Amino acid sequence: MVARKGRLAGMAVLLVLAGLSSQALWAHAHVIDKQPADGALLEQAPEQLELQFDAPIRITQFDVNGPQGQVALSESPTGPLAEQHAAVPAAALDAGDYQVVWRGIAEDGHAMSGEYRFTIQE
Amino acid sequence: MNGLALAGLDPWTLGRVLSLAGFYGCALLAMGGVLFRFAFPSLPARETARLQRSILIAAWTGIGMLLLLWLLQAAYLGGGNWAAAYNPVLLGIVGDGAQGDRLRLALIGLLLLQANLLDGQFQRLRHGLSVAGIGLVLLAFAQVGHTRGAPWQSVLLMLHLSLAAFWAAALMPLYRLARSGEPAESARLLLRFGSLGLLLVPLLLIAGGSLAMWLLGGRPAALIDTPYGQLLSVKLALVALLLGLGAINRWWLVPAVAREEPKAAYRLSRSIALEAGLMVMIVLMASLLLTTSSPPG
Repeated sequence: MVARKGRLAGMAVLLVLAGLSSQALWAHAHVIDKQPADGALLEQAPEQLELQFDAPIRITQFDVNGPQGQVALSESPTGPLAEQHAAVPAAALDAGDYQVVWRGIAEDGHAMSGEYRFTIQE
Repeated sequence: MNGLALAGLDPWTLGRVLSLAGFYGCALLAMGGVLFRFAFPSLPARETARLQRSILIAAWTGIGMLLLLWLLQAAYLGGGNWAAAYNPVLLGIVGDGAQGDRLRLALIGLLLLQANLLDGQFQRLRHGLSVAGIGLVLLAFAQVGHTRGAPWQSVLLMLHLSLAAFWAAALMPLYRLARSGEPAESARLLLRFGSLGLLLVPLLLIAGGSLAMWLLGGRPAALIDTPYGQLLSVKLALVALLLGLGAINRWWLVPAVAREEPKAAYRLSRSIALEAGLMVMIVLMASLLLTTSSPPG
């Protein structure tokens, strides 16, 4: 009986150590940088919009809405698994308020979304 | 707080949470039902038939929930619309990655574990197949989220879920036994379940607690000061209530049933029903955590 309890306690200790010791190989991704930054007030229209993550993700939606409605993109960030994603507007952006809405899925299967805004001054 | 920490409960997110909870609940009941049959081979014939039926229903509902979840993930990733749910590119993106691995493993596992329901020859083969099926479903759970690619944490998660599955699936037959009007037979099986619980509950807590600490980055304060920790705290509070009910059953109500005290069986069946309600809430909370929130660890 004592030996059985000892084995159980040993197993418990091993489980706790196992839980606390190793590192996750596929952590959730997080946004670490946006260009333009959220809330930025720009004097010139950006040539491209960038999202940087700390782990690879696939962007599945990247919509840019401005004063003229949805912005057409000549280069879309959707598709490839990468840490850095860039979108290039098909034409120079007019002055006004813009909102970027994106969704994506990380390597660990975690679906993510985000949005941010910036303004191009007259 | 940005969109990564808490995506918000739009209708598509709510749909994903509910379908994931449905899959989790059904998979746990199907796996746990098979484990319960192994642990209690001498159940009354009527209970065995009911348990087999519930395993079958749980396995196929779980498969349905998995497929629904696949569509809803594609719909969400496409911006939240039904057209995206049938978009082959988005379905392919979901199917190619971690969620696809979970879907494939769980699908095969839920089909295989039904070998336990077949009668006739090749009993060892049937048992082997159903155990392999349980193993695949447990492995499927570890494919999505932080445990992906972390072997030790995957083992902890699989252990935690197999014990939870056994407990969850045991509630329905125990509830019926408590109300069967045969206190001697009921008490014998309930006492046996209580004895197993003395091993099951500590292991469940150790595995779940270690995982939680790892996800919180070894910082208990994250239970309060991060959105993930706050949701996890609610889940832990529900688990504490569940353990309290389990202890009441084990040390008070089941012995009262064994002594054939008046109303003991009625009280026990109510307590078991409450346990089932708490388990539903715990599964919903786990799905909410997995869908909307990102651990700080």
